[in-house]
Amino acid sequence: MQTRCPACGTMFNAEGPGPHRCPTCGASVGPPPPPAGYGLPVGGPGAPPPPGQVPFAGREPTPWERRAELGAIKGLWLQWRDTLFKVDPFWKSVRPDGSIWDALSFAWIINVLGVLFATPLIALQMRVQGEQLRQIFDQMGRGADTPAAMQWFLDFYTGPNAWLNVAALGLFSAVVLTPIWLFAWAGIVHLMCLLFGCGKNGFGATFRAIAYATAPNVFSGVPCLNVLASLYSFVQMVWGVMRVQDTTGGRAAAGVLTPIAVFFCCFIGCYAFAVAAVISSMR
Amino acid sequence: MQLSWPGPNRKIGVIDALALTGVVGLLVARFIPIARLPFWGCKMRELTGWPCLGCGLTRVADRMSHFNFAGAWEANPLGTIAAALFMVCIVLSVLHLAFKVPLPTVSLSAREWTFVRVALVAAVVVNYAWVAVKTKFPHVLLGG
Repeated sequence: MQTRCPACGTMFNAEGPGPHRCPTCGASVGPPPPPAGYGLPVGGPGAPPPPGQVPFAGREPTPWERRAELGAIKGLWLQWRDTLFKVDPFWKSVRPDGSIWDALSFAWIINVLGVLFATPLIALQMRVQGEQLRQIFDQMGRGADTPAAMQWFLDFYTGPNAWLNVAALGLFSAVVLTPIWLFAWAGIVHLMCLLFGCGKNGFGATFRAIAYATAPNVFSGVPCLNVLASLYSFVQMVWGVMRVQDTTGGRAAAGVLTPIAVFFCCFIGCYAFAVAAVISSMR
Repeated sequence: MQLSWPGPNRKIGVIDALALTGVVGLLVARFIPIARLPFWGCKMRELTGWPCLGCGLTRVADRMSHFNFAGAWEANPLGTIAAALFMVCIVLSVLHLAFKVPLPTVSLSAREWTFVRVALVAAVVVNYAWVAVKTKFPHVLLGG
C-alpha cells in the first residue's frame, strides 16, 4: 500500500501491518495495525461503508491539507510538486470527502502566485513591445474618429503604464474571480459528470479535483509555457476527476472536456474575430 | 428515483455552484451589451448559413435577464429552459445558504439515468431542428 511520510512527504510502499519506517528520513509512519475487517468498503469504492469500516481507506489528507503539521509553505510546495510530478500517486491519495475550502485556498494562492511571477515578465514585455504596438496602431490610422471605447482599450494596453494596468487586471482577476470561476466551472463539470455517470462521490470531490488541478497555473504568465501549463491543467482535471470520482478515464474526459468543447466553438470564433475588429475599426 | 432530505445545513453543493454560474451569466447579460461587441455573433451561421448548436443563447441570456420569457423562447427554447433552471437554482441556493433550507439529494437508477441522457440528446436534436428551420426556412414556421 502506498503510504506518505508526514515528515518529509516521501511516498513509499508499505507492506504488512504498521507502523513503518520512512526510507528517506527514518520517521515512524502510520498507526498501529487496524483490527481485522477494516479495508475498502464493500460494494466497491464510493459505496456506503458498513458500520465500523473506514470510508475511502487508503486515502489521506494532501500535503496542503496537512499544513498545520507541515507548515503552510512546505505543504504548498509538497502538494504543488506532487501534483505536477507525481501525478497518479497524488490523485490516488486524494480524499473525495475532504474540505472544499482547503482546495479553494490552494487554487487561490496558486493563481495569485502565477500573477505575481508574471508581473516582471509583463513589465519587460510591455516595455519592449509597447512602443512597437503604439507605432503600429498609429500607422494603421488611430485618430480622432476612432471610437472612444477603442481609444481606451488601446491606451490601456499600449500606454506608458500598460504593464501596470495588465498586472493590476491580472491580480484583480486572480483575487476576486478565482473562487467565482472555480465554483462555476466545477458546477458545470460536475453536471456533466453526473450525465456521464462519473459523479458518485459528490460535488465536493469534483471541486477538489478542479481546484487542485490548477497547480500548473503558476506558470500562467510565462510566454509559451502558459499554453503548456493550461493544457497540463486540463489533463490534471481529467486525471483528478478519474481518481477522485473512482471512474474511468473516458468518462472523466467526457465530463471535463464536453463543456470545453461547447465553449470552444462559441468563443474561439469571437477571439479570432476580435483582432480583426480592432484593426478594422481603426481604418 | 430516490429523494433524501438532509438536515438543515449550508453545505456547498452543485446547486449552489450552478446558482453562482447563473448569477454571473445573468448579471453579465443584464449589464454588459455583449451582443453589440463587433466580434460577437454566430460565425458558423455567417460562414455557412446554418446556425450552430448554441445559436441564440446570447439573446436568451439577454432577454431572460430582462424577464422577457417569450422573447427568450423565440430565440432558443432549450436555452430558455436551461436559463430558467439556472434561475431556479439561484432561488434554491439563496434559501439554502441564507436560511439553511436543505436541498434534496436525488438518486437515479442506471435505467433512469439512461432515460435522462436519451431525453437530453433528443431535446438537443429537436431544439436544433427548430432553430435551424427558423433560421433557414422561416416561411415554414410562418405558414407561408
